[in-house]
Amino acid sequence: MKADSLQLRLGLSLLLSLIAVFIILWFLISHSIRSLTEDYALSHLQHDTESLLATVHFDPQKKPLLDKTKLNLIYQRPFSGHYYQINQAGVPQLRSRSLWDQDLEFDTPINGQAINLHTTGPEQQSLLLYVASYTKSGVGITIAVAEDLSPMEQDVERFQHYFALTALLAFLILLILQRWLLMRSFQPLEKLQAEVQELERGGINKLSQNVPTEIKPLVAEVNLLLSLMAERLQRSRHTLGDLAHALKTPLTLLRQLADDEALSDNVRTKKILSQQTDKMLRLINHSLKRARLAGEGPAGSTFSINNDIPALLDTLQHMHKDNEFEFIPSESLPDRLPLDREDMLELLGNLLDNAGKWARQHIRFTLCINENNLRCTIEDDGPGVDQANLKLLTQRGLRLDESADGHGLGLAIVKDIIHQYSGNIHFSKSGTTGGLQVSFEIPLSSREHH
Amino acid sequence: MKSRWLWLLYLFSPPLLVLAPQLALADNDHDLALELKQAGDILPLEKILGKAQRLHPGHVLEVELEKKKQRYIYEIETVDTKGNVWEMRFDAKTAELLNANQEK
Repeated sequence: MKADSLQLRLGLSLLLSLIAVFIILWFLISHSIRSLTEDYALSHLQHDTESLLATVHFDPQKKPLLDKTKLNLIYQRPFSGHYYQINQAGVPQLRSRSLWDQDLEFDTPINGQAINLHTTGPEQQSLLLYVASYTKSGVGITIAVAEDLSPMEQDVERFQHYFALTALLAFLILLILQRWLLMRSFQPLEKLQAEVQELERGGINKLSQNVPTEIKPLVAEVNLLLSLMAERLQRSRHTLGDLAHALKTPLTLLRQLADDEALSDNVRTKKILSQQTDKMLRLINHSLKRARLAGEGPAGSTFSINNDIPALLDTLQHMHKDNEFEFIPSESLPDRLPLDREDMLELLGNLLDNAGKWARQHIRFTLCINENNLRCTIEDDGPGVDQANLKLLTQRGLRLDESADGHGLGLAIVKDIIHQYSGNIHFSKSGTTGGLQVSFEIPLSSREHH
Repeated sequence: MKSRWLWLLYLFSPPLLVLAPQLALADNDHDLALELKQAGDILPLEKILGKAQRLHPGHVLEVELEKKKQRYIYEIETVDTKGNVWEMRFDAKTAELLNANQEK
Protein backbone atom coordinates (compact mmCIF):
# COMPACT_ATOMS: atom_id res chain seq x y z
CA MET A 1 0.00 0.00 0.00
CA LYS A 2 1.28 3.45 -0.81
CA ALA A 3 1.73 6.15 1.83
CA ASP A 4 -1.05 8.27 0.34
CA SER A 5 -3.48 5.35 0.18
CA LEU A 6 -6.92 6.10 1.59
CA GLN A 7 -7.13 2.52 2.79
CA LEU A 8 -3.89 2.86 4.75
CA ARG A 9 -4.90 6.21 6.22
CA LEU A 10 -8.27 4.89 7.38
CA GLY A 11 -6.68 1.72 8.69
CA LEU A 12 -4.06 3.63 10.70
CA SER A 13 -6.50 6.06 12.30
CA LEU A 14 -8.85 3.24 13.26
CA LEU A 15 -5.91 1.30 14.66
CA LEU A 16 -4.79 4.24 16.81
CA SER A 17 -8.28 4.88 18.14
CA LEU A 18 -8.62 1.18 18.98
CA ILE A 19 -5.37 1.24 20.95
CA ALA A 20 -6.48 4.37 22.80
CA VAL A 21 -9.86 2.84 23.64
CA PHE A 22 -8.26 -0.34 24.98
CA ILE A 23 -5.76 1.52 27.14
CA ILE A 24 -8.46 3.78 28.61
CA LEU A 25 -10.69 0.75 29.25
CA TRP A 26 -7.83 -1.10 30.93
CA PHE A 27 -7.18 1.71 33.40
CA LEU A 28 -10.84 2.44 33.96
CA ILE A 29 -11.83 -1.16 34.66
CA SER A 30 -8.78 -1.85 36.83
CA HIS A 31 -9.45 1.24 38.89
CA SER A 32 -13.17 0.51 39.16
CA ILE A 33 -12.62 -3.06 40.36
CA ARG A 34 -10.04 -1.95 42.89
CA SER A 35 -12.18 0.81 44.36
CA LEU A 36 -15.32 -1.35 44.30
CA THR A 37 -13.74 -4.22 46.23
CA GLU A 38 -12.06 -1.82 48.61
CA ASP A 39 -15.39 -0.14 49.30
CA TYR A 40 -16.93 -3.53 50.04
CA ALA A 41 -14.02 -4.49 52.30
CA LEU A 42 -14.33 -1.17 54.10
CA SER A 43 -18.05 -1.64 54.73
CA HIS A 44 -17.30 -5.07 56.27
CA LEU A 45 -14.53 -3.61 58.40
CA GLN A 46 -16.93 -0.92 59.57
CA HIS A 47 -19.52 -3.53 60.54
CA ASP A 48 -16.91 -5.55 62.43
CA THR A 49 -15.76 -2.42 64.22
CA GLU A 50 -19.31 -1.71 65.35
CA SER A 51 -19.77 -5.34 66.45
CA LEU A 52 -16.59 -5.08 68.53
CA LEU A 53 -17.88 -1.86 70.03
CA ALA A 54 -21.10 -3.65 70.98
CA THR A 55 -19.20 -6.57 72.55
CA VAL A 56 -16.55 -4.63 74.45
CA HIS A 57 -17.03 -4.02 78.16
CA PHE A 58 -14.77 -2.74 80.91
CA ASP A 59 -13.37 -4.11 84.13
CA PRO A 60 -13.31 -1.97 87.28
CA GLN A 61 -9.92 -0.56 86.20
CA LYS A 62 -11.67 0.58 83.01
CA LYS A 63 -9.58 -1.84 80.93
CA PRO A 64 -11.46 -3.20 77.91
CA LEU A 65 -12.53 -6.86 77.87
CA LEU A 66 -13.93 -9.03 75.08
CA ASP A 67 -15.81 -12.27 75.18
CA LYS A 68 -13.62 -14.27 72.83
CA THR A 69 -16.27 -16.91 72.34
CA LYS A 70 -18.26 -14.32 70.44
CA LEU A 71 -15.47 -13.72 67.93
CA ASN A 72 -14.94 -15.41 64.62
CA LEU A 73 -12.24 -18.06 64.47
CA ILE A 74 -10.42 -16.11 61.77
CA TYR A 75 -9.36 -13.63 64.46
CA GLN A 76 -7.78 -16.48 66.46
CA ARG A 77 -5.52 -18.03 63.83
CA PRO A 78 -2.11 -16.29 63.84
CA PHE A 79 -1.44 -14.12 60.77
CA SER A 80 -4.77 -15.11 59.22
CA GLY A 81 -5.15 -11.75 57.47
CA HIS A 82 -7.97 -10.54 59.73
CA TYR A 83 -7.02 -8.47 62.76
CA TYR A 84 -8.40 -6.12 65.33
CA GLN A 85 -6.81 -3.97 68.00
CA ILE A 86 -8.33 -1.76 70.69
CA ASN A 87 -6.30 1.20 71.96
CA GLN A 88 -6.88 3.51 74.87
CA ALA A 89 -5.25 6.90 74.51
CA GLY A 90 -2.96 5.57 71.82
CA VAL A 91 -1.80 2.56 73.87
CA PRO A 92 -2.71 -0.97 72.69
CA GLN A 93 -4.93 -2.72 75.22
CA LEU A 94 -6.45 -5.62 73.34
CA ARG A 95 -5.12 -7.36 70.23
CA SER A 96 -6.69 -10.16 68.24
CA ARG A 97 -4.83 -13.45 68.69
CA SER A 98 -4.24 -13.44 64.92
CA LEU A 99 -1.81 -10.55 65.41
CA TRP A 100 0.28 -12.83 67.64
CA ASP A 101 3.52 -11.08 68.48
CA GLN A 102 2.88 -7.94 66.43
CA ASP A 103 0.70 -4.91 66.83
CA LEU A 104 -0.91 -2.43 64.48
CA GLU A 105 0.26 1.15 64.33
CA PHE A 106 -2.18 3.92 63.54
CA ASP A 107 -3.05 7.48 64.50
CA THR A 108 -5.96 8.07 66.82
CA PRO A 109 -8.84 9.91 65.16
CA ILE A 110 -10.91 12.27 67.29
CA ASN A 111 -14.01 10.88 68.95
CA GLY A 112 -16.81 9.96 66.57
CA GLN A 113 -14.55 10.02 63.56
CA ALA A 114 -13.15 7.24 61.41
CA ILE A 115 -10.19 6.96 59.08
CA ASN A 116 -8.99 4.26 56.74
CA LEU A 117 -5.44 3.64 55.61
CA HIS A 118 -3.16 1.15 53.91
CA THR A 119 -0.33 -0.37 55.86
CA THR A 120 1.95 -3.40 55.86
CA GLY A 121 1.10 -6.19 58.27
CA PRO A 122 2.69 -9.50 59.31
CA GLU A 123 4.48 -11.41 56.53
CA GLN A 124 4.35 -8.35 54.26
CA GLN A 125 0.55 -8.52 54.00
CA SER A 126 -0.95 -5.39 52.48
CA LEU A 127 -3.55 -4.34 55.01
CA LEU A 128 -6.57 -2.09 54.69
CA LEU A 129 -7.21 -0.52 58.08
CA TYR A 130 -10.42 0.98 59.41
CA VAL A 131 -9.89 3.01 62.57
CA ALA A 132 -12.64 4.71 64.62
CA SER A 133 -12.79 6.38 68.03
CA TYR A 134 -15.76 5.94 70.39
CA THR A 135 -16.77 6.58 73.98
CA LYS A 136 -18.49 3.71 75.80
CA SER A 137 -19.42 3.66 79.47
CA GLY A 138 -17.53 6.92 79.78
CA VAL A 139 -14.29 5.39 78.46
CA GLY A 140 -12.70 6.61 75.23
CA ILE A 141 -11.44 3.79 72.99
CA THR A 142 -10.09 3.48 69.46
CA ILE A 143 -10.97 0.33 67.53
CA ALA A 144 -9.00 -0.73 64.47
CA VAL A 145 -10.02 -3.60 62.22
CA ALA A 146 -7.74 -4.71 59.38
CA GLU A 147 -7.95 -7.04 56.43
CA ASP A 148 -5.24 -8.42 54.16
CA LEU A 149 -5.95 -7.23 50.62
CA SER A 150 -3.20 -9.33 48.96
CA PRO A 151 -5.60 -11.99 47.61
CA MET A 152 -7.75 -9.25 46.14
CA GLU A 153 -4.73 -7.56 44.61
CA GLN A 154 -3.64 -10.86 43.14
CA ASP A 155 -7.08 -11.23 41.64
CA VAL A 156 -6.99 -7.72 40.21
CA GLU A 157 -3.63 -8.52 38.72
CA ARG A 158 -4.98 -11.76 37.32
CA PHE A 159 -7.90 -9.85 35.87
CA GLN A 160 -5.53 -7.36 34.29
CA HIS A 161 -3.64 -10.19 32.65
CA TYR A 162 -6.84 -11.75 31.35
CA PHE A 163 -8.05 -8.39 30.15
CA ALA A 164 -4.80 -7.65 28.36
CA LEU A 165 -4.95 -11.06 26.70
CA THR A 166 -8.60 -10.70 25.73
CA ALA A 167 -7.99 -7.17 24.51
CA LEU A 168 -5.11 -8.36 22.36
CA LEU A 169 -7.29 -11.08 20.88
CA ALA A 170 -10.18 -8.68 20.31
CA PHE A 171 -7.71 -6.24 18.83
CA LEU A 172 -6.46 -8.81 16.33
CA ILE A 173 -10.00 -9.84 15.41
CA LEU A 174 -11.04 -6.21 15.01
CA LEU A 175 -7.96 -5.56 12.91
CA ILE A 176 -8.81 -8.42 10.56
CA LEU A 177 -12.46 -7.37 10.50
CA GLN A 178 -11.49 -3.78 9.80
CA ARG A 179 -9.21 -4.81 6.95
CA TRP A 180 -11.99 -6.93 5.47
CA LEU A 181 -14.48 -4.06 5.82
CA LEU A 182 -12.08 -1.60 4.22
CA MET A 183 -11.43 -3.95 1.36
CA ARG A 184 -15.17 -4.40 0.94
CA SER A 185 -15.80 -0.66 0.91
CA PHE A 186 -13.02 -0.13 -1.60
CA GLN A 187 -14.26 -2.86 -3.91
CA PRO A 188 -16.42 -0.45 -5.97
CA LEU A 189 -13.29 1.60 -6.63
CA GLU A 190 -11.41 -1.47 -7.86
CA LYS A 191 -14.38 -2.35 -10.04
CA LEU A 192 -14.32 1.20 -11.38
CA GLN A 193 -10.62 0.86 -12.16
CA ALA A 194 -11.28 -2.35 -14.08
CA GLU A 195 -14.08 -0.59 -15.92
CA VAL A 196 -11.84 2.30 -16.89
CA GLN A 197 -9.32 -0.18 -18.28
CA GLU A 198 -12.08 -1.94 -20.16
CA LEU A 199 -13.17 1.46 -21.45
CA GLU A 200 -9.67 2.12 -22.73
CA ARG A 201 -9.64 -1.28 -24.41
CA GLY A 202 -12.94 -0.35 -26.07
CA GLY A 203 -15.02 -3.15 -24.56
CA ILE A 204 -17.50 -0.65 -23.14
CA ASN A 205 -18.25 2.96 -23.96
CA LYS A 206 -19.41 4.24 -20.57
CA LEU A 207 -18.89 3.56 -16.86
CA SER A 208 -21.50 1.80 -14.75
CA GLN A 209 -23.56 4.21 -12.60
CA ASN A 210 -24.00 1.55 -9.92
CA VAL A 211 -21.38 3.01 -7.52
CA PRO A 212 -21.39 4.41 -3.95
CA THR A 213 -22.81 7.92 -3.57
CA GLU A 214 -19.38 9.38 -2.81
CA ILE A 215 -17.98 8.63 -6.26
CA LYS A 216 -21.20 8.92 -8.25
CA PRO A 217 -20.55 12.55 -9.28
CA LEU A 218 -17.09 11.59 -10.54
CA VAL A 219 -18.46 8.71 -12.60
CA ALA A 220 -21.24 10.93 -13.98
CA GLU A 221 -18.67 13.55 -15.01
CA VAL A 222 -16.48 10.96 -16.73
CA ASN A 223 -19.50 9.56 -18.59
CA LEU A 224 -20.54 13.02 -19.70
CA LEU A 225 -17.03 13.71 -20.95
CA LEU A 226 -16.95 10.39 -22.77
CA SER A 227 -20.22 10.99 -24.57
CA LEU A 228 -19.12 14.53 -25.47
CA MET A 229 -15.86 13.25 -26.92
CA ALA A 230 -17.53 10.47 -28.87
CA GLU A 231 -20.07 12.89 -30.26
CA ARG A 232 -17.38 15.36 -31.27
CA LEU A 233 -15.31 12.66 -32.97
CA GLN A 234 -18.33 11.31 -34.81
CA ARG A 235 -19.28 14.79 -35.91
CA SER A 236 -15.83 15.63 -37.24
CA ARG A 237 -15.67 12.29 -39.02
CA HIS A 238 -19.04 12.96 -40.60
CA THR A 239 -18.08 16.51 -41.48
CA LEU A 240 -14.98 15.25 -43.24
CA GLY A 241 -16.95 12.64 -45.17
CA ASP A 242 -19.67 15.16 -46.04
CA LEU A 243 -17.12 17.68 -47.20
CA ALA A 244 -15.35 15.12 -49.37
CA HIS A 245 -18.67 14.07 -50.79
CA ALA A 246 -19.76 17.62 -51.48
CA LEU A 247 -16.46 18.49 -53.14
CA LYS A 248 -16.44 15.49 -55.41
CA THR A 249 -19.01 16.70 -57.93
CA PRO A 250 -17.57 20.23 -58.39
CA LEU A 251 -14.08 18.72 -58.71
CA THR A 252 -15.21 16.23 -61.31
CA LEU A 253 -16.72 19.16 -63.23
CA LEU A 254 -13.43 21.05 -62.95
CA ARG A 255 -11.54 17.99 -64.14
CA GLN A 256 -13.82 17.77 -67.16
CA LEU A 257 -13.24 21.47 -67.75
CA ALA A 258 -9.51 20.75 -68.07
CA ASP A 259 -10.29 18.59 -71.09
CA ASP A 260 -12.57 21.25 -72.55
CA GLU A 261 -11.87 22.45 -76.05
CA ALA A 262 -11.80 26.05 -74.88
CA LEU A 263 -8.53 25.42 -73.11
CA SER A 264 -6.83 23.67 -76.03
CA ASP A 265 -4.94 26.90 -76.77
CA ASN A 266 -3.60 27.31 -73.26
CA VAL A 267 -1.60 24.12 -72.76
CA ARG A 268 0.09 25.22 -69.57
CA THR A 269 -3.15 26.13 -67.74
CA LYS A 270 -4.72 22.93 -68.97
CA LYS A 271 -1.86 20.87 -67.66
CA ILE A 272 -1.81 22.52 -64.22
CA LEU A 273 -5.58 22.30 -63.95
CA SER A 274 -5.69 18.61 -64.80
CA GLN A 275 -2.75 17.76 -62.55
CA GLN A 276 -4.09 19.61 -59.51
CA THR A 277 -7.67 18.40 -59.89
CA ASP A 278 -6.36 14.83 -60.23
CA LYS A 279 -4.49 15.24 -57.00
CA MET A 280 -7.52 16.69 -55.23
CA LEU A 281 -9.75 13.91 -56.51
CA ARG A 282 -7.28 11.35 -55.22
CA LEU A 283 -7.30 12.91 -51.76
CA ILE A 284 -11.08 13.08 -51.72
CA ASN A 285 -11.42 9.48 -52.82
CA HIS A 286 -9.10 8.47 -50.03
CA SER A 287 -11.12 10.41 -47.50
CA LEU A 288 -14.34 8.86 -48.68
CA LYS A 289 -12.87 5.38 -48.60
CA ARG A 290 -11.66 5.97 -45.08
CA ALA A 291 -15.08 7.13 -43.94
CA ARG A 292 -16.62 4.08 -45.57
CA LEU A 293 -14.15 1.73 -43.84
CA ALA A 294 -14.56 3.30 -40.44
CA GLY A 295 -18.31 2.83 -40.54
CA GLU A 296 -20.40 3.67 -37.50
CA GLY A 297 -18.41 1.99 -34.73
CA PRO A 298 -17.89 3.80 -31.42
CA ALA A 299 -15.10 6.32 -31.43
CA GLY A 300 -11.83 5.39 -29.82
CA SER A 301 -12.60 1.69 -29.46
CA THR A 302 -10.20 -1.16 -30.00
CA PHE A 303 -9.99 -3.49 -32.95
CA SER A 304 -12.18 -6.59 -32.85
CA ILE A 305 -11.04 -9.45 -35.06
CA ASN A 306 -14.44 -11.15 -35.00
CA ASN A 307 -16.44 -8.03 -35.89
CA ASP A 308 -14.19 -5.69 -37.81
CA ILE A 309 -12.39 -8.05 -40.20
CA PRO A 310 -15.52 -9.63 -41.77
CA ALA A 311 -16.99 -6.14 -42.25
CA LEU A 312 -13.77 -4.90 -43.81
CA LEU A 313 -13.49 -7.89 -46.14
CA ASP A 314 -17.12 -7.40 -47.08
CA THR A 315 -16.48 -3.79 -48.09
CA LEU A 316 -13.35 -4.77 -50.03
CA GLN A 317 -15.20 -7.55 -51.80
CA HIS A 318 -17.63 -4.94 -53.06
CA MET A 319 -14.78 -2.76 -54.29
CA HIS A 320 -12.95 -5.64 -56.05
CA LYS A 321 -15.69 -7.89 -57.33
CA ASP A 322 -13.44 -10.14 -59.40
CA ASN A 323 -11.05 -11.04 -56.60
CA GLU A 324 -11.27 -13.59 -53.86
CA PHE A 325 -10.10 -12.53 -50.41
CA GLU A 326 -8.94 -15.47 -48.32
CA PHE A 327 -8.63 -14.73 -44.56
CA ILE A 328 -6.48 -17.21 -42.64
CA PRO A 329 -6.44 -16.41 -38.91
CA SER A 330 -4.19 -18.51 -36.69
CA GLU A 331 -5.76 -20.44 -33.87
CA SER A 332 -6.27 -18.95 -30.42
CA LEU A 333 -6.39 -15.35 -31.57
CA PRO A 334 -8.12 -13.10 -29.06
CA ASP A 335 -11.14 -11.17 -30.27
CA ARG A 336 -9.88 -7.79 -29.18
CA LEU A 337 -6.47 -6.37 -29.92
CA PRO A 338 -5.16 -3.44 -27.89
CA LEU A 339 -4.94 -1.35 -31.07
CA ASP A 340 -7.12 1.48 -32.24
CA ARG A 341 -9.94 0.28 -34.43
CA GLU A 342 -9.69 3.06 -37.00
CA ASP A 343 -5.92 2.74 -37.29
CA MET A 344 -6.19 -0.97 -37.91
CA LEU A 345 -9.01 -0.56 -40.41
CA GLU A 346 -6.99 2.04 -42.27
CA LEU A 347 -3.84 -0.09 -42.19
CA LEU A 348 -5.44 -3.36 -43.26
CA GLY A 349 -7.88 -1.61 -45.59
CA ASN A 350 -5.11 0.10 -47.49
CA LEU A 351 -2.93 -2.98 -47.81
CA LEU A 352 -5.83 -5.23 -48.83
CA ASP A 353 -7.12 -2.61 -51.24
CA ASN A 354 -3.68 -2.43 -52.84
CA ALA A 355 -3.52 -6.18 -53.12
CA GLY A 356 -7.02 -6.21 -54.61
CA LYS A 357 -5.93 -3.69 -57.23
CA TRP A 358 -2.97 -5.75 -58.43
CA ALA A 359 -4.19 -9.29 -57.89
CA ARG A 360 -5.45 -11.37 -60.74
CA GLN A 361 -8.00 -13.18 -58.60
CA HIS A 362 -6.63 -14.38 -55.30
CA ILE A 363 -5.47 -12.58 -52.11
CA ARG A 364 -4.15 -14.42 -49.06
CA PHE A 365 -4.48 -12.59 -45.75
CA THR A 366 -2.96 -14.30 -42.66
CA LEU A 367 -2.99 -13.06 -39.11
CA CYS A 368 -1.27 -14.44 -36.01
CA ILE A 369 0.19 -13.40 -32.68
CA ASN A 370 3.76 -14.46 -32.06
CA GLU A 371 5.53 -13.62 -28.78
CA ASN A 372 3.16 -10.74 -28.16
CA ASN A 373 3.69 -9.38 -31.67
CA LEU A 374 0.84 -9.09 -34.09
CA ARG A 375 2.01 -10.55 -37.42
CA CYS A 376 0.11 -10.03 -40.59
CA THR A 377 0.90 -11.12 -44.15
CA ILE A 378 -0.97 -10.09 -47.28
CA GLU A 379 -0.06 -11.81 -50.57
CA ASP A 380 -1.51 -11.41 -54.04
CA ASP A 381 -1.11 -13.29 -57.29
CA GLY A 382 -0.48 -10.13 -59.30
CA PRO A 383 2.61 -9.18 -61.31
CA GLY A 384 4.66 -8.42 -58.19
CA VAL A 385 7.53 -5.96 -57.88
CA ASP A 386 11.06 -6.57 -59.12
CA GLN A 387 13.95 -7.07 -56.70
CA ALA A 388 15.44 -3.57 -56.92
CA ASN A 389 12.14 -1.83 -56.32
CA LEU A 390 11.24 -4.18 -53.44
CA LYS A 391 14.25 -2.85 -51.62
CA LEU A 392 13.27 0.73 -52.32
CA LEU A 393 9.72 0.09 -51.17
CA THR A 394 10.92 -1.24 -47.84
CA GLN A 395 13.49 1.48 -47.34
CA ARG A 396 11.77 4.64 -48.37
CA GLY A 397 8.18 3.85 -49.17
CA LEU A 398 8.71 5.16 -52.67
CA ARG A 399 5.65 5.51 -54.73
CA LEU A 400 6.13 3.12 -57.58
CA ASP A 401 2.68 3.57 -58.92
CA GLU A 402 2.17 7.27 -59.35
CA SER A 403 -0.26 6.49 -62.10
CA ALA A 404 -2.41 4.00 -60.21
CA ASP A 405 -5.44 5.47 -58.49
CA GLY A 406 -4.68 6.46 -54.86
CA HIS A 407 -2.08 3.80 -54.26
CA GLY A 408 0.84 5.98 -53.26
CA LEU A 409 -0.99 7.93 -50.60
CA GLY A 410 -2.27 4.71 -49.03
CA LEU A 411 1.20 3.27 -48.59
CA ALA A 412 2.44 6.45 -46.93
CA ILE A 413 -0.41 6.25 -44.40
CA VAL A 414 0.34 2.55 -43.82
CA LYS A 415 3.94 3.39 -42.97
CA ASP A 416 2.83 6.20 -40.67
CA ILE A 417 0.59 3.87 -38.68
CA ILE A 418 3.23 1.12 -38.48
CA HIS A 419 5.74 3.67 -37.26
CA GLN A 420 3.28 5.00 -34.70
CA TYR A 421 2.99 1.53 -33.16
CA SER A 422 6.78 0.91 -33.32
CA GLY A 423 6.22 -1.91 -35.76
CA ASN A 424 7.99 -2.80 -38.99
CA ILE A 425 6.89 -3.59 -42.51
CA HIS A 426 8.54 -5.74 -45.13
CA PHE A 427 7.94 -6.21 -48.85
CA SER A 428 8.95 -9.35 -50.72
CA LYS A 429 7.94 -11.76 -53.43
CA SER A 430 5.30 -14.21 -52.29
CA GLY A 431 6.33 -17.84 -52.26
CA THR A 432 2.79 -19.15 -52.40
CA THR A 433 0.91 -16.84 -54.79
CA GLY A 434 3.82 -15.45 -56.77
CA GLY A 435 2.83 -11.79 -56.48
CA LEU A 436 3.78 -9.13 -53.93
CA GLN A 437 3.95 -10.13 -50.28
CA VAL A 438 3.54 -7.42 -47.64
CA SER A 439 4.12 -8.45 -44.03
CA PHE A 440 4.13 -6.29 -40.93
CA GLU A 441 4.65 -6.78 -37.25
CA ILE A 442 3.26 -4.66 -34.41
CA PRO A 443 4.33 -5.24 -30.80
CA LEU A 444 1.32 -5.55 -28.50
CA SER A 445 3.14 -5.52 -25.19
CA SER A 446 4.07 -1.83 -25.14
CA ARG A 447 0.43 -0.96 -25.61
CA GLU A 448 -0.77 -3.39 -22.97
CA HIS A 449 -2.03 -2.17 -19.63
CA HIS A 450 -0.05 -2.87 -16.53
CA MET B 1 -4.50 -21.24 45.96
CA LYS B 2 -7.08 -21.79 48.61
CA SER B 3 -7.57 -18.12 49.27
CA ARG B 4 -8.05 -17.21 45.62
CA TRP B 5 -11.69 -16.27 45.88
CA LEU B 6 -11.70 -15.96 49.61
CA TRP B 7 -11.97 -12.20 49.54
CA LEU B 8 -14.88 -12.40 47.13
CA LEU B 9 -16.64 -14.89 49.37
CA TYR B 10 -15.88 -12.63 52.25
CA LEU B 11 -17.20 -9.68 50.32
CA PHE B 12 -20.72 -11.04 50.17
CA SER B 13 -20.78 -12.77 53.52
CA PRO B 14 -22.24 -11.22 56.67
CA PRO B 15 -19.84 -9.55 59.16
CA LEU B 16 -17.38 -11.89 60.78
CA LEU B 17 -18.23 -11.26 64.37
CA VAL B 18 -20.85 -13.98 64.62
CA LEU B 19 -21.15 -16.43 67.44
CA ALA B 20 -18.35 -18.94 67.17
CA PRO B 21 -18.28 -22.29 68.94
CA GLN B 22 -16.63 -22.33 72.31
CA LEU B 23 -12.94 -22.91 71.95
CA ALA B 24 -10.36 -24.08 74.39
CA LEU B 25 -7.60 -21.70 73.37
CA ALA B 26 -4.93 -20.62 75.75
CA ASP B 27 -6.48 -17.37 76.75
CA ASN B 28 -3.75 -14.83 76.20
CA ASP B 29 -0.81 -16.76 74.71
CA HIS B 30 -0.36 -14.09 72.05
CA ASP B 31 0.14 -11.39 74.65
CA LEU B 32 2.79 -13.57 76.24
CA ALA B 33 4.42 -14.09 72.84
CA LEU B 34 4.58 -10.31 72.31
CA GLU B 35 6.19 -9.80 75.70
CA LEU B 36 8.74 -12.58 75.19
CA LYS B 37 9.58 -11.29 71.72
CA GLN B 38 10.06 -7.76 72.98
CA ALA B 39 12.26 -9.11 75.78
CA GLY B 40 14.31 -11.03 73.23
CA ASP B 41 13.53 -14.39 74.80
CA ILE B 42 11.97 -15.81 71.62
CA LEU B 43 12.28 -15.08 67.89
CA PRO B 44 9.52 -13.27 66.01
CA LEU B 45 6.91 -15.72 64.74
CA GLU B 46 7.55 -14.52 61.16
CA LYS B 47 11.03 -16.07 61.29
CA ILE B 48 9.76 -19.41 62.58
CA LEU B 49 6.95 -19.42 59.99
CA GLY B 50 9.42 -18.60 57.25
CA LYS B 51 11.38 -21.69 58.15
CA ALA B 52 8.22 -23.79 58.38
CA GLN B 53 7.17 -22.56 54.95
CA ARG B 54 10.47 -23.66 53.48
CA LEU B 55 10.00 -27.13 54.96
CA HIS B 56 6.37 -27.63 54.04
CA PRO B 57 4.88 -24.81 51.95
CA GLY B 58 1.24 -24.20 52.74
CA HIS B 59 -1.20 -22.32 54.92
CA VAL B 60 -0.80 -21.91 58.63
CA LEU B 61 -3.64 -23.55 60.52
CA GLU B 62 -2.60 -23.03 64.10
CA VAL B 63 0.29 -21.75 66.18
CA GLU B 64 0.85 -22.60 69.80
CA LEU B 65 3.52 -21.43 72.20
CA GLU B 66 4.39 -23.98 74.90
CA LYS B 67 6.84 -23.92 77.75
CA LYS B 68 8.55 -27.25 78.39
CA LYS B 69 11.54 -27.67 80.70
CA GLN B 70 12.47 -23.98 80.66
CA ARG B 71 12.29 -24.02 76.86
CA TYR B 72 9.75 -22.19 74.73
CA ILE B 73 8.53 -24.29 71.86
CA TYR B 74 6.48 -23.17 68.88
CA GLU B 75 4.11 -25.78 67.58
CA ILE B 76 3.08 -24.94 64.00
CA GLU B 77 0.33 -26.68 62.08
CA THR B 78 0.16 -26.19 58.31
CA VAL B 79 -1.74 -27.65 55.40
CA ASP B 80 0.19 -28.10 52.15
CA THR B 81 -1.10 -27.85 48.58
CA LYS B 82 -1.92 -31.58 48.48
CA GLY B 83 -4.15 -31.22 51.50
CA ASN B 84 -1.79 -32.90 53.99
CA VAL B 85 -1.66 -31.41 57.46
CA TRP B 86 1.81 -31.08 58.98
CA GLU B 87 2.82 -30.50 62.55
CA MET B 88 6.22 -28.98 63.23
CA ARG B 89 7.89 -28.11 66.48
CA PHE B 90 10.59 -25.46 66.70
CA ASP B 91 12.71 -24.13 69.48
CA ALA B 92 11.24 -20.62 69.83
CA LYS B 93 14.61 -19.05 70.63
CA THR B 94 16.83 -20.68 68.00
CA ALA B 95 14.26 -21.72 65.36
CA GLU B 96 15.78 -25.20 65.55
CA LEU B 97 13.43 -27.86 64.17
CA LEU B 98 12.69 -30.32 66.91
CA ASN B 99 10.41 -32.63 64.98
CA ALA B 100 8.03 -32.64 62.05
CA ASN B 101 5.43 -35.19 61.21
CA GLN B 102 2.23 -35.60 59.29
CA GLU B 103 -0.61 -35.43 61.71
CA LYS B 104 -2.63 -38.60 62.02
